[in-house]
Amino acid sequence: MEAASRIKLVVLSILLLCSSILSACAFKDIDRRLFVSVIGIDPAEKIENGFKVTLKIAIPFGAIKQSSRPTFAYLSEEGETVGEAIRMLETHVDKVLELGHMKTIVINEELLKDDLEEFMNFFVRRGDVQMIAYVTAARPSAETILKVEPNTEAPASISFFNFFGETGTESPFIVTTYLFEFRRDYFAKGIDPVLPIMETNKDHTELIVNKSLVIGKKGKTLELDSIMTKYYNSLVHKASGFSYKIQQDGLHLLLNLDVVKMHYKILSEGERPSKIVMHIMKSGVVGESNKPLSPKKLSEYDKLAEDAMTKKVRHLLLYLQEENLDPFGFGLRYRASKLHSADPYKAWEEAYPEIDFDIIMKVELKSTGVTE
Amino acid sequence: MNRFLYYLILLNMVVNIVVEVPKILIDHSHRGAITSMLLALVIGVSFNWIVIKLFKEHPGRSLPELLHDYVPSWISKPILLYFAFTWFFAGFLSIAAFTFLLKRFLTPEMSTYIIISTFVFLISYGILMKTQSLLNSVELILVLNLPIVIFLISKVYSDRSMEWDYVKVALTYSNNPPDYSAVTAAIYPLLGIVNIIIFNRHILEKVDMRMKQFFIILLAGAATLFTSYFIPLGYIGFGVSENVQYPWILTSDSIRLKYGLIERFIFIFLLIFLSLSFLNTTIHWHVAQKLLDSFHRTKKLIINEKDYNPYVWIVVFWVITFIGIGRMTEYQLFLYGKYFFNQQPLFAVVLIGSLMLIKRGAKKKWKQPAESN
Amino acid sequence: MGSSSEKQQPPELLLQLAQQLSPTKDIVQTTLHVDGMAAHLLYLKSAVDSIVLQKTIIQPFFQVTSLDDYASYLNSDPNQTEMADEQTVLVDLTKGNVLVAVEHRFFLLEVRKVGFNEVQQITLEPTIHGAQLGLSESLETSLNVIRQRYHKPSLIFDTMQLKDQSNRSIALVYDKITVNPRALQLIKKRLDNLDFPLILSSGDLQLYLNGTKKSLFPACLLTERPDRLVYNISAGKIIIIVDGSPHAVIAPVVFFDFMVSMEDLYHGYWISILTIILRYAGLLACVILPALYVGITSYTPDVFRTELALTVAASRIGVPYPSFMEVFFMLLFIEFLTEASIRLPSPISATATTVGGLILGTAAVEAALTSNIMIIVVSLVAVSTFVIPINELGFAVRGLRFILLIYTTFFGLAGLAIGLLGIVLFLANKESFGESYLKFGWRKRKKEFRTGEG
Repeated sequence: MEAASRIKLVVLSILLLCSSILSACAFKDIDRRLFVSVIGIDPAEKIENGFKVTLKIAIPFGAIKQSSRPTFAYLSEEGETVGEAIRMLETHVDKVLELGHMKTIVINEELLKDDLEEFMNFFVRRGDVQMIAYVTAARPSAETILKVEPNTEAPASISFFNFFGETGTESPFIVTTYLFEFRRDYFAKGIDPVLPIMETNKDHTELIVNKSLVIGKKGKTLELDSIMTKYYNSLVHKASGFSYKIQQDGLHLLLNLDVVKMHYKILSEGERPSKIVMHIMKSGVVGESNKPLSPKKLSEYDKLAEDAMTKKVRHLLLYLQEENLDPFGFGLRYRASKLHSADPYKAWEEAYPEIDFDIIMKVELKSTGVTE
Repeated sequence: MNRFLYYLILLNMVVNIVVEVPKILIDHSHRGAITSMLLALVIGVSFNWIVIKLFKEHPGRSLPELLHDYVPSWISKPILLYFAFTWFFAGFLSIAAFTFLLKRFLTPEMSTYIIISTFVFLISYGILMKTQSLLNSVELILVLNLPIVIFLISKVYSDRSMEWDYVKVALTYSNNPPDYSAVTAAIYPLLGIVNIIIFNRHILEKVDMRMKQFFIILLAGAATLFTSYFIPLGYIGFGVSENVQYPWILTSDSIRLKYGLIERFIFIFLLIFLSLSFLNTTIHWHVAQKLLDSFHRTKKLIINEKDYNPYVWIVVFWVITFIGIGRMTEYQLFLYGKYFFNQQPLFAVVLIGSLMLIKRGAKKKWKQPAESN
Repeated sequence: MGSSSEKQQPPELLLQLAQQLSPTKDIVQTTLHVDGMAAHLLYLKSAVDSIVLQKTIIQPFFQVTSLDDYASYLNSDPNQTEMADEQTVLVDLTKGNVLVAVEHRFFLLEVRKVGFNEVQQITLEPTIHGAQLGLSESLETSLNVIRQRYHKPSLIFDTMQLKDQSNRSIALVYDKITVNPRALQLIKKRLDNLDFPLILSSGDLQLYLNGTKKSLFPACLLTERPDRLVYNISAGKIIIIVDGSPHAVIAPVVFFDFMVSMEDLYHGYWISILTIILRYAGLLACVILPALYVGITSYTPDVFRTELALTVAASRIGVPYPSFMEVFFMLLFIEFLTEASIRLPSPISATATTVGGLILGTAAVEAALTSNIMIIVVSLVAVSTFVIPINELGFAVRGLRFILLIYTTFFGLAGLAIGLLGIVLFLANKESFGESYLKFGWRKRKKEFRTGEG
């Protein structure tokens, strides 16, 4: 036992020593790394079909509590591919570029009209890029957006992250799309991904996110304005904070609808999908009014809201149908309803442009708020 | 059924949720993955049943002992060698898989050999351990880890980004005929019971399977296969997943723990499954070493009453692992994994066959007790 | 007269023994006589209680009328010790026996003086509720303490003598109904085969009993709490008490025994559950935190939340050493502090801790020799080490975290996970007197599971 344990000890320590020599290559301290927080991709100016990659790097600052603003460094480089540009950027800095904390991918709006497969490949293939990174479209260019440092940004917090995923602000105008969702819905048949559009104001002191972009197959894109974004987001992602203003007969009512439920059915006529019946249930309270309200008349206001909002939803659905885009994933749902051998997707593709929508809206106001 | 048998079965199921099995199944998603899984479930659970029933007659005896007693050595030696190789290779494959995983996702700059040595030293310790201590630690680690595994899996099930429509689309492919490779891949997670061939020596009571146990295993197996195949589709998308090397890792990276200590789910997931996989590999190699020990051992290596035979085998394991994995590519890993899965029917036949031989041998011995002494 | 003077002469044996004991000055060889009756006494003054001697041996001599009466009086004394060979008698004399020679009969009577038979205050494992007094340095008193807390006829005291130079008595205490016979046998065998020149207290006896000399984790539990002893006796464990040591050894033990504080039994259900969880969390924290720091900061900073990663990176600005050196030095520093404050008398140790902990810590951060996150980690580690109720495990854990730190330094986070499993495997493979060290104590387990050899 004695001799054996000694041999074991010797062997183990030799092996550990050997590996310690080898391990030197993987060991890298945290202060020798640069944390890329946002990556921006624009079309290249000098290289044809190339990309311009901009990195926003969060620089750790000595005493975080004392510094008033976060400090960022920006790196830009053009390359034929995203990977190549990043490889080149690695030679521009003295530390390792660490993509593990890269949580937002900002893509120039123009690029989204091309084939996305190429640069999406880079992000999925690399093991260290988070699949839960947010993907956004940028207007006018990714670089401009990246370089915005909002006034409200606190040190050691990055406003690009707080916009999405309900980390900081929560608003039905902000669509959150993770990289894996974007990839999944982009490649799958029967659903189209939606990306938020990031804009900035004139002085580049604010980031504004309230529009979105539907990305179709074959490079077709469609912008949704803020209102449509709000409807899409609250219906599909159940985003909270939905409010709606009714204007009728001089009555202004602002409804805060915090519960939104939606489900739909696809009805078929024979082998052909013919109608989508959508049930929407919203409930909430009255948030603002220019006249005194009576609780007895709540059902009346319900009715008002129902009619008005049904119109809005129908408008959104028809707008999407016209462009043959399907961010709701109706096609996917239809595919799931039939055995694959019946090729339901083909039938769907033919039928979708002419399909009917039947929207059944139900609004339930729980109270008139704190005052009548 | 004995608690430890459950552990062996469960451990193998949980570990195989992650790497090769879902990859092969998802590759077959247009070619009969669902029917294959159903078929595999039936075959796998019945196989459990048969093995347990056959071992029930020999409480407290391991397969090498039984072979030694009842089967002529010219039959038993090749069987032992074949089994030892199978078990070694099973362990080898999981080390290879996790080496690639770690290199890809956790420590990309680290050399392959170092990653291998992370496992290999401690696994060797596990090989040298007393068998009952190993069972004890399996119990301990499994009981501590299972709640976390259940939390992780339930988080994957309940996350808002999970799109069930893709799962439903996948279900529309349930009218395809089963495929051989998919069936064998789906059987593999259900075969944890085979470790009984060594561990039976330390498991004394309740080596039996009744209706209740049958259904428990059936349910657990069904849940395992369902999770393994369908859940990644909800995150990666149906028809998009074929070119993904590690569907489950991508899936685990698609979940965000908003208020968790660690935001990225993937790290907890990787480390927990790494630990369980390590444990399973330790079991495999422990069995392989025990089999090799009864295949061949020399008295020359017993120095000062200390048996150095296991050390020789461990060094052999090391050499094969370091050279093998060092030269392997990910593609080869999946290829060999497939070959390994595909040869499972042979394995099943040999195992059941040898148990039958033992049964016959034992009967003969009963009839001629004079000769046996 | 001749015969009477012959009687006055002490017997040969007495003289011989006295010869062998000399030249120590505390030897007393005296003769009592009255009316021609004589009795000879031989004892060591330093070991014998003179008042008891006076009362039970000397006074009766002057009260009886014949030597026969006196002899039968002595013979019926319950404190009489069996006389064996000369060597044993010598040892017995050193223990406080008095050799009385009446005519040609010899009596060995125990009149021990134990100057340290008070029951001692508990210092190592204080609790708020529960017993405040522990064992005594005298074996008898300690046994008395146990007997008084466990009134059961099946309680067995098995006293024997150590075979070393000190020849001290030790006692095995167990309940013969619940005891684990295999462990008992093993302990007796180990005690018989014990081959060490000098055993000083239960502390080192415990180490020698361990079987393997080099072991990080203790295989026996050392305690001074009588309630813990009784609790363990009723659970079938064996207690070893060494005369002159206020600590008792409990064997066999499993890992979980070291994480039990007696207070758990005195609190309500939820409170004790919470404290137990707290304790295990502390154990986990002090084992893995240093390794985790190295693994995350130097291998996989992606694990942190972004904000934390930036904070850590910021706090490490200007630190010249790689993280594992930093951790290693700081841990070493904390070990110095702990060690110093244990050895020093308490008023001084407070100063040492303040100077070391507060001033040096702040100064090290100011001088950018270490990051302040590191200081947090190290203090957390130091504090959580003290959460472990039994000191020996605390020491083992202090060693353990260095091993884990080294493993993580080589292999990163995966190394940490695998290293933790390795520790579990190692502990599960360890044995304490035939019992697996780390395992779940489910019921019915023995029946399902073979624990024997092989």
